[in-house]
Parts: sequence; structure tokens; C-alpha cells
Amino acid sequence: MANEMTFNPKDFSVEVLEEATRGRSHYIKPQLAVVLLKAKLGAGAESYLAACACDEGLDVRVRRVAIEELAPFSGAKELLKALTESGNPWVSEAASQALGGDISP
Amino acid sequence: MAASLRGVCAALGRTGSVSLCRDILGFSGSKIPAAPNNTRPVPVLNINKFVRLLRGKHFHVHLIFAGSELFTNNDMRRMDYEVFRLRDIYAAAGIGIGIITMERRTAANSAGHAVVRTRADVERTGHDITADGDFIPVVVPADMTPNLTAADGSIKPGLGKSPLKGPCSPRNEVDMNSVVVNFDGDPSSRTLAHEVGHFLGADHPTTPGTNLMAQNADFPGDSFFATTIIESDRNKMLAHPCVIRPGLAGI
Repeated sequence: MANEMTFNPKDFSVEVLEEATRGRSHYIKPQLAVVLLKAKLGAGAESYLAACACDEGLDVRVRRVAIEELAPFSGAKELLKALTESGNPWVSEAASQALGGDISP
Repeated sequence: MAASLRGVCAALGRTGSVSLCRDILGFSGSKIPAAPNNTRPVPVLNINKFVRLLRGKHFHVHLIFAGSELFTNNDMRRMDYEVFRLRDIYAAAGIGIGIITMERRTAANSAGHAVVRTRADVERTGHDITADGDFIPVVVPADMTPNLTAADGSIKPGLGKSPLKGPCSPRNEVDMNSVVVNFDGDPSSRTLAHEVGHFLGADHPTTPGTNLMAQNADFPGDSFFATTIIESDRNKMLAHPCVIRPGLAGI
């Protein structure tokens, strides 16, 4: 048996979602906030996702989701390639997978 | 009958140097956790109530943190609060929880389930990661975001999944051995208690409600206090044949 919730991106402002990606919401998990932001802004989320992917101060789990959400953006390929060289194996693995590879840390 | 804490620990099979908070109550920080914010109840440990509930039917829980190196200290403090709430939710229905243990498994020892991205991953995690013994096994993956996007653009994050009736079930739904819970901030304690309820045999209600076994999706808004265990669910849980333990004698 499963349990789930429903979040509509329209119900949240960009500011609320950006705060939530920083772990400042009691109700929205940071990783979910990244997904909601992408759903809300579409292509307009690319620069914020890129910033999250590169932010070494951010929880690596949030960076990984941002990297995964960047995968469909052709403009993000160079950034993802650069992140495959990250010293953090969790980041480099996610970037490799986003580029279509499957390199384990 | 007055109970000594040492006697209670011994009755639970814990002897020698035992920390009540760490080894019995399951607080990783070895102390009663703080409330995460001022809208949530402040944990108060009532030893008499704890002991009284152990004189009746009760169960044990084993939490497995998959990808333990990814959990932050703050995560673990929050998890201690969820554990407190889990115990409190069942106590309100007169059901005791005896021992709650925590096991940390690194990503390398988590059979690839530290990161969970799809509903199928959730089921595989609950199948592959479990523990011996008759504690209810609960897996908490470090990075779990199994989101579905609905036709209207809404996002449905999976909060948790559990095999109905646990190990005693004829496996007619999914082949899971353990409960899997998305550590998801504030709703986690309700999800944890809800999925443990499934493991103990309680199903979703057939009519909408705000009790523990209702799905979060059925009531938008704050689900934190929607944790009442209704009588019929309580009876199903206490009748569980293999993880519910008889009351402890002599404490």
C-alpha cells in the first residue's frame, strides 16, 4: 500500500520554491522544490537549476536532482560535462547519468 | 506495580550498559529531541505510560538508513523527532512500541538503494533491504524522490510504501519485505506511522477521512495531526500474527 501527496506548481510562488530548495520550508522537501520549480518555469528554470547544480554549499541530494532536471536542456551539456569532473562522486555520477552515461562513483 | 528502568530494559532483552534514549527509544542523538518548529508538539517522555503500554501488546521497529553518509546531522535530529511522533501516535491508540533500533548502511552496503527515483525503485528497495528478526523493518533511503507528473501538471511525490500485513501476507500485491519511507521533512512521522499501519494489516479507508490510514492526497493541507487510529484498524493491527508481541510480565 502506498501513500502520496499532490503538489501543484501553480500553488507556489517562485520565491517560496527557491527558499524551499535551501531547506527553508517545513512542508516542501528541497528535492521536491527543485522538481516543482522546473515544472513551473519550464525552460525558464535552466539558470536556477544550473546554479543549484554548481552550488557546493547545497545538500548534494538537492544538487543531484538539479543535475537530473538539467538533462533535457541542450544548453546545459557543457556544464554537465564539467560536473562529471567534480571531486564529489555523487555529483559526478549524477552528471554522467544526465549525459546518458552510467558511470558509478 | 512499580517498574525499574533496568527491569524494563531487561524484559526487552537489553542488559548491561543501556541508554534508554538511544538503545530503547531509538533517538540517535541519545536524548529526547526538540520540536522542529513552534507549531509542533514538544516531546515529553512519560516513562509510566511507556511501561504501561509494554504490559499490553506491542511491537518493535528497526530503521535502516540506506546511504547513511548522505544524511546530515540535521536530518538525524529530525528523524529523532519523527521517531518520537511515531511512538506517540501509536500510544494514543493504546498500542505500545518497545524497542526502536537504528542501523546505518552506507550507499555501498545498500544494494544500490540509497538513491530512489521511481515507484519501481521503491518496491525493489523494500524487497532487497531488510533485516532478520521480528522487528518491523523500515528503510529510509537517503535520496528518495519518486515523483509522478499528472496530466494537469501537478506533481505526486511518493511518500512511502509498505507490504500490507507485512511478512504474514500472502504476497498478492507487491513482493516487499520492508516498509519504505520517504524522509520528507514535516510529514515524515505521519508517513512512517501510516506505512507501519499497513505492515500491521490496516488498509486505506473506503470512505474519505482524516485518520491515520487515509492517504495524504485525500486531504490537502497540513496532515501532521491526522493521525488518529480508528478502532477497527487498531483491532486489525493488534491481531497481527507475527510482529505483535504479548505484554511483558513482571515489569
